[in-house]
Amino acid sequence: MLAKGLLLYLAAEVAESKTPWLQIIITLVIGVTGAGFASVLNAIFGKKLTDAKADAQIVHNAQEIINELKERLAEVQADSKDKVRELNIEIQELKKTIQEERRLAQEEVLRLKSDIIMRDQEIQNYKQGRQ
Amino acid sequence: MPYRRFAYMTSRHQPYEIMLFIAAVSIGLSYFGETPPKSLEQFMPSWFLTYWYISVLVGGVVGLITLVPKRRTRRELNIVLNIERGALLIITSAIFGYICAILATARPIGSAIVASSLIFGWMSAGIVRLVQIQNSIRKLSEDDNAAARVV
Repeated sequence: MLAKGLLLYLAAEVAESKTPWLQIIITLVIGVTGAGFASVLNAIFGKKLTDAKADAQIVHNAQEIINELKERLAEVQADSKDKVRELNIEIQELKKTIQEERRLAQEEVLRLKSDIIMRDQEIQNYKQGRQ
Repeated sequence: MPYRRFAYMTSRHQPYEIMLFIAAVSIGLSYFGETPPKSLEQFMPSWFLTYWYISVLVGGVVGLITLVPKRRTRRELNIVLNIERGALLIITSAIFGYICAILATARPIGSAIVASSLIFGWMSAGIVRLVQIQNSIRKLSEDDNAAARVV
């Protein structure tokens, strides 16, 4: 509001100047000095805004990095779960194989035992026949 | 070798610039005790004469203030360069107004040319320094943006 009033006042004063080229020079000088004042004020009071913008940018970048890391962590967790599931299936299959092998081995042992008994019986019979 | 724009990142002011700020403060203060030069009085309306003197005084004071702080960080350097640019803009445009006043009112025209060309030299030096400061500010901001992208 104050700047607008000042500009209107300056414009009215410039319009009352004697010649057009004087008006141009005055306008030019006022414009460039105004730009200088604006540069000074912006440097002094605009600092906080710049700081806030820079902070917001840093927070935004950090949030993006955090999101990216979360996504990668989720991917790694999903991969590890799949791996664990596969390993469990493999372990179950191995257990079944071991049980089957054990059963076969026990059958073989029983067969061999009965074979030994039969052989032993044959030897006894042979001995008795000789006597 | 490819052309590279040279950025003036020095923390020191140039001697002419310090003298320009001191002269601007002296000229601005003289308004409160001395009669203004005839060329200015004849050329400028009274309200604009007051504005001109105040601008020169403010520009000089602000320019001298930029000599005081030590520039430790890039951000502080950026702020000081912006303030310095503002001070130079104010003083340079005021010098332009003075040149116009001399050329319009001083007679004979020969003496007007001699006086105005000396002041024109100061104004040109101010413009060159302004360009240097602008390049430094742009370079700083480009570097900061690149750093922000990396982060």
